[in-house]
Amino acid sequence: MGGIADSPRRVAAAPGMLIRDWGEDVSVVFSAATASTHLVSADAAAVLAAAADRPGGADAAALAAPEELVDALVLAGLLRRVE
Amino acid sequence: MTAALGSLGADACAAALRSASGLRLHMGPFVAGIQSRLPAVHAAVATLYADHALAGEDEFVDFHVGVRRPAGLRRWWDPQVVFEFEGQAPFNPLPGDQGFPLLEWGLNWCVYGMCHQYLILHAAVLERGGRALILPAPSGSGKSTLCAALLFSGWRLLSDELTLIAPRDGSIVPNPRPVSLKNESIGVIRRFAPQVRFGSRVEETSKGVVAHFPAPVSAVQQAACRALPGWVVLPKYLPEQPARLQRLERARAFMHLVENAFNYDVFGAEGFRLLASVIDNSECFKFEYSSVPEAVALFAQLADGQDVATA
Repeated sequence: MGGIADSPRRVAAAPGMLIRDWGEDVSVVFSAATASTHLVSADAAAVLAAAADRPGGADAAALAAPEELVDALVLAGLLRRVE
Repeated sequence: MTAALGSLGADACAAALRSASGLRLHMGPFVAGIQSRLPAVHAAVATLYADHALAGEDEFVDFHVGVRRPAGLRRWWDPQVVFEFEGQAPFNPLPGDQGFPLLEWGLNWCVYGMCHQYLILHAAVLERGGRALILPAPSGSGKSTLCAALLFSGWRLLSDELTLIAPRDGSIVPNPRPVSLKNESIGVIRRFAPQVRFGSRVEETSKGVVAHFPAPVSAVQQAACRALPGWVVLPKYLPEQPARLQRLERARAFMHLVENAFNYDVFGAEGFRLLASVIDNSECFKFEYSSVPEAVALFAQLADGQDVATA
């Protein structure tokens, strides 16, 4: 069985995601897909904002997202793997 | 403008509480119909809601509530009281002298459990200069003590317990009701504001000793005047600490609002946008204090636009 690390690297923002960035070290994100609200680092918010700008999905590398961060955001339901 | 309860007199108030239709009172945006045959509840309602407007017979009643003695032999040797909502008893009975606190807790439950036309925070809220000061905090943080001290210091009480946010415009809807203090806070406020007239002390509740005092008449009379968010402050009482206000990242303040919201989940994405608009319009701080006069002085400076935050 493959884990997250073996999954495709292409990701998309979860549907209905909202981000509020007040230019601080942390931001808040709402995922309509999981009906959850998260406090995320500025790095994570930047990756999510970049993903939200690419509705069809993007390669994780194009989002300048370290793999660990992508994995964490996928686990939180804020990013989704796409083929 | 309808008459205030105090104009009825104690006997007529008690008669209304005993009647089948109950005593109908305006409480901010709500009308409650209250029934009780308990003299201690009659006295407390007459005193602590004296300035609240009576509702007319033709007005819609949001909550039909009551406090009564449960049936059974126990009422003869260890009487209890039970809260009723629409004829049902949603909670276990409490000791017989806790009728009025139980009524207040029950009314809070009605608001935060059913009034989803508002996003509701577990937070005290006051107003000064048209801006609302929101104090979200769990019990035991010193929120109610700070709120009580501020309302005697030039701030208007909107609520000591429940912040109602209108989804349409993000304004804060006043819901001034008797202010509840617990344990040491009662003495602290007695010393700070000797003019305050507390109702009866109720001992050995689940929260310790509880006493209420009435919302200021000016707050009750201005219950239709909403305020826009201005400050979000997370208070914490710490013994022997000087008053200290520290700026708080807006995202962290946002999460505190989420944690202290009763019905954020009901609103979904709209709730996220609404709380974000509250934060957009607010300065956000953490606040530690042990001295009420110090705290009051610092909040006066804050209201005057002074930069009183420490690093």
